[in-house]
Amino acid sequence: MHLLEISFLMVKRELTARYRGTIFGYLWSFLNPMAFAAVYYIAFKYIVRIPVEDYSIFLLTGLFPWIWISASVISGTSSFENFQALLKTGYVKPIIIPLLVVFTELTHFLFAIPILLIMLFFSGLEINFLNYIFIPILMIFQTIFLISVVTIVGCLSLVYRDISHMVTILIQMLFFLSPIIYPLSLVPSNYLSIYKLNPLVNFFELWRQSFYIGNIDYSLLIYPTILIFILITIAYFVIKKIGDRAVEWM
Amino acid sequence: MDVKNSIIEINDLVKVYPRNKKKSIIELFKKKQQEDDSTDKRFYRKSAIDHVSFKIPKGSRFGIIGHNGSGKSTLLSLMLGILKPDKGTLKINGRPLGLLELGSGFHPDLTGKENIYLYSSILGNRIKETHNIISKVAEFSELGSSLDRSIRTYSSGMVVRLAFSVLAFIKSDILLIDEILGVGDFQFQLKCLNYFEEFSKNGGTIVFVSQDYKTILNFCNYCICLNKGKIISYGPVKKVVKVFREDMEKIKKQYVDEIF
Repeated sequence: MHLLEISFLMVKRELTARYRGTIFGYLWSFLNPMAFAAVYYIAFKYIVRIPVEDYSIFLLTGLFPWIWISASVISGTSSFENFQALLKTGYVKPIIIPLLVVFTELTHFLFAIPILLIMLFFSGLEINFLNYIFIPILMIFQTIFLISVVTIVGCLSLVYRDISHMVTILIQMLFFLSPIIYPLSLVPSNYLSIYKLNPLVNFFELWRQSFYIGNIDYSLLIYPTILIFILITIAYFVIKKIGDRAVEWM
Repeated sequence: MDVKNSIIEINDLVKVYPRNKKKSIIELFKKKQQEDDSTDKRFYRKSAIDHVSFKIPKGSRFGIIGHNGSGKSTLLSLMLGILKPDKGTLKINGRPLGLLELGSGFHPDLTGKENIYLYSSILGNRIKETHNIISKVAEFSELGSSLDRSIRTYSSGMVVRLAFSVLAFIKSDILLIDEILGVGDFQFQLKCLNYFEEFSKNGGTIVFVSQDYKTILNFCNYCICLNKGKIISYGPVKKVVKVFREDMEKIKKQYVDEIF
């Protein structure tokens, strides 16, 4: 419980510090993804002409979870380095750092959900509100997934310098290799089995299904669940080996 | 020295820092072969703390003295749990509170008050408990209306003052102090000393790290002297400080001999 309380205060600190003294304050956290969405909308709706109805909603239901993922992993890679002052107090366990990183980005995601709901409401799409019960569950899945990933890359990048460069490239690749700006149906069927190795595919499909498509395919959760267990095991060993001695690597 | 009622027990403690600070990713795959020789070599290397054993009596004021790089601060970090021992044991029967790098946990963009909440929470307080102590912390710090300004506008002395004020209201059994008396103005130093006296009177143990034998002599009753990670003297403060001064004279003489 105390761990959660510290993360709450730290997230508050992060957000307050990040937006204090800026013109739009917290609004920046919406403006950034919205600006991206506008650019992608023009590029992929009018230039590439991806055949998706209600493309703006399609795009945002993919883009908001994506920003949560990419921002967490990118800031998570350098997080152990950035929060070394915190670890050097000697009172907090290293696991607080991934929690803090993922929760901060989760907060941004939570702020974005009302925008999505308003847009969905005005879009005239038929929405099954029962599906929204699934959103918090999906959120928990993705939170745990991200915490273990951030733990692993954050700890490893303390020791191995190449990690942060690799993560940057990987994130850029994953953006185009996940169904964010285009639907899964556009992926050629002979590549589909390889394409689906990317666990983010399942996440994005589930986000869209629960936000507006309906008919949630719960079997999509199997692959992420297995992966989460593997990642947690790795994260556990990484934190035992490196995380608990993080201060020595700084 | 025989200690019956000890609060910290250190037995054959070894601490070696990693050989390479940062590695390239290739070494992750090479690891298997490397590990075999590295485990052996590790302990041949110069250790920061080299087979150190001693006990700190409960309620004492324990000094740790030594030159630069003798391992004083490493030892303190080990007691605080920031570093983990490579060999040997370290047993602490109580809650330690570290007074080192004061103010490093603060966020410059937040106000003094916000930082008090944050820091106090990091140190293990629940938000409710911080509510109860915040007025006392504010009073103790004597920062007044500055507490509503962001830390960015503070002088370094004010930051230390604020950090110390929060620490002063955290319950603990052992204070670990790393030469913080060097910072802050005279008035604040007196306040710190008063607090230490009070803490000591109430049965608390104080571990004090310094290079300055005068402070140690005034303040402590027991002491160890470290040199290159090894204990060269251990016992009542007068005896240890004498050893330290002799050692200092020796080094001085060496320098003088080298120069002239």
